[in-house]
Amino acid sequence: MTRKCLMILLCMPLAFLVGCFDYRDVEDLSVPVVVAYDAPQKSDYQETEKVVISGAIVNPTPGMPQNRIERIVARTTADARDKTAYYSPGFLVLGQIQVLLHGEDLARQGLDIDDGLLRVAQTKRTLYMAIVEGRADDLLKTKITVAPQIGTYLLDLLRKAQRRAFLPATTMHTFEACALTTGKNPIIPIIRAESNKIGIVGTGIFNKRQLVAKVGIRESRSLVMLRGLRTTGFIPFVLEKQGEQIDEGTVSVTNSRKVKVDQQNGKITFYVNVFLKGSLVEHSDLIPVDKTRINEIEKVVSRVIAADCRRFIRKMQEDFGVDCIDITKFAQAKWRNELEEEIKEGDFIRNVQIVVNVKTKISDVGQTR
Amino acid sequence: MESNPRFLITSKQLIFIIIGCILGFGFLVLPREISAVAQQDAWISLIIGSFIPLVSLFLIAKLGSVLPDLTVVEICHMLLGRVMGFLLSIVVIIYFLNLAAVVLRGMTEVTSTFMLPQTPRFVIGGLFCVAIWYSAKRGLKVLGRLNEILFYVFLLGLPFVFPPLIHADATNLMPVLAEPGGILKGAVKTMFALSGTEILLVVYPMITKKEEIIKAGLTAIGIILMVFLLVIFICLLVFGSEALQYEMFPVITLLKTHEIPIFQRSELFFLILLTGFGIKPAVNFIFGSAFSLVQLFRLNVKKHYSLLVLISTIIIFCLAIIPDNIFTFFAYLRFVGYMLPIIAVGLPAFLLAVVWLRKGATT
Repeated sequence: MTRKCLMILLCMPLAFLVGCFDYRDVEDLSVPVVVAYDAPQKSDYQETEKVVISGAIVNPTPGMPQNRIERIVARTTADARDKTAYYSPGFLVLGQIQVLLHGEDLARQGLDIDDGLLRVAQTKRTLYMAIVEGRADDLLKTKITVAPQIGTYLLDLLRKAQRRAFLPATTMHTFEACALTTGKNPIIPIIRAESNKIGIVGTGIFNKRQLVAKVGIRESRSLVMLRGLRTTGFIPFVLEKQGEQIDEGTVSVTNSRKVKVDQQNGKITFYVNVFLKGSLVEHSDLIPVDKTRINEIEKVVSRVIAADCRRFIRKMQEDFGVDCIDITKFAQAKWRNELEEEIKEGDFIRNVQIVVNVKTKISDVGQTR
Repeated sequence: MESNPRFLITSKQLIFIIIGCILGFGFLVLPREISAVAQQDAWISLIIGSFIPLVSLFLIAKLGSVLPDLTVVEICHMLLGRVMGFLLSIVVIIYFLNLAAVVLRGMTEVTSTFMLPQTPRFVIGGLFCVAIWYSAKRGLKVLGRLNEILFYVFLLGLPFVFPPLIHADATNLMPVLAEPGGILKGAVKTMFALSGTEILLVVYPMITKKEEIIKAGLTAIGIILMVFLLVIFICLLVFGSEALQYEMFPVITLLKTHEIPIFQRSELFFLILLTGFGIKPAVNFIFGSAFSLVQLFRLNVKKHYSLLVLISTIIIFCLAIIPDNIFTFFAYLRFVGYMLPIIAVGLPAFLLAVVWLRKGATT
């Protein structure tokens, strides 16, 4: 009898199974894969509307197009979720957003807007971020030909960039961790649509949540190397002797960095050592490569990269005024309390000395000499 | 009591019961709570904070060695008389009930936030209560086994905290010993997560090999300390103490920072495991309170224990739904945590003092 009573009692919860409250049929869902935020245009402008939200949405409902692009002008990002209910079918599932885009205008105002996504526990922190040169809603309309969906295309483009070239890949976690920590500043890749193509064209430099500068592809290379982001890419070289070109080619290298910090007479000096390690991919000279030639290639690659890095540091200290190469943390690790005020005021990086050294090691030449 | 096999455990099971009491919901928010005051030195605060359960273990073991066959309720009655003994026992029971309520509400919050946002909290809490009641009513022996199994379930979930180390930044841990004042404040903040060794006040007479209690307790506290240190180190390395303050449940967010191939979203697997091992401290504390109630009112364990488990479960359900929102809940959690030194250290120390005073008087 006791057992029967117990069974009845244990079965009682079945009457209000939790699934009943949170149950959603897959066919009733709208799954945004890409979300894009823009500042309103003149045509969108209403007194209360402050943001344009666009999304590339996968729609599993039978009889409806599988992919659609939606655009909503709203007061806030969460307000847009309310507005979608007025005309858009399906429950929005925010847990599958893979890519988050911000229009350049909005990024210059600041990305405080992301709170609407961060607060949703189902949202991933691994979603990839990019700044769109121009408007993000226009970019979503690009008729790409290389992939069936713009969502998967953008995800692959942004996620794999860091492993294929000297470009950053920024997830929502890395952005937030930098934006919320004293002395750190995030960087985000910039993308642009041209005819039927979407490509990465540079990197956006942020002062906390606000876009303050943009750099092109070549400067992005210096930026990621100085920042210590582990990337792999190709570097072309030209070898000259007495003013004449004797060889040219390309090396494929992976970068890393070591930073030392020193304080003398109140002046802080950072020693940034960039290490490049990789292989010779091609060269034009038909003479087989030997140790001497490899040394010459290593030297020329180091020289070019070091010059680029020094140019970038000058620009960072004089123009940007923010530590985008993430070295302040090394000073904080030693003198956190002493430097706190100066770092918060924002002039710290302008007043320090930064010494860069680049060392290249070509350890592999492939299967031919 | 010793003749009732439902309430006898081995020292090995004691290890899992102590672990089961401490390792539940608390560690999910521990890195944020401590680093709010101790910043990058949060791990030092934890080491200092862990002295409380250690001292508690030695005091309770000492008390138990003097009065090996009595639970805290019986000791209070014997040493302090009926009225004082009754009042002190009630305090202990209320403490256990509040600890269980904190765990229940915490787990309800996590489940509601991350898994079932549309489901009313009382439904989630109610379902947890059914599980708590059913497990606790089986007696301490079953609890020992349950805690052991759920510890292994926890070990299955533990590897998921390592992949986010790809985002680790060692400078987040430096400089060490920057603000000693903050470290001490942080040690106070660890209290809510380290509550659990005081279950020994109830289970001491039910352990078969009493000479192994200290060893078992030290093993349990050692394991807990290792797990908590690991979690705090990883959270500090990945988020840094400043960014950590923005995460409500940093350990779960930690799992969201990196996707593991095949598994993809590891936090979902962890949450599924968590719904099992996260609630077990509540089961242990319900046992503690129900068994103490049986002894307090001098009832028959066989007849009345199950009923008192049910009543205790209903009480914790009511306590758990009282906090209006998560911030009131965190205030409640901290308040219950501050009771730890009083119950876990103060009470056994006081009872030991009374024992010695009485001994002195008799001599």
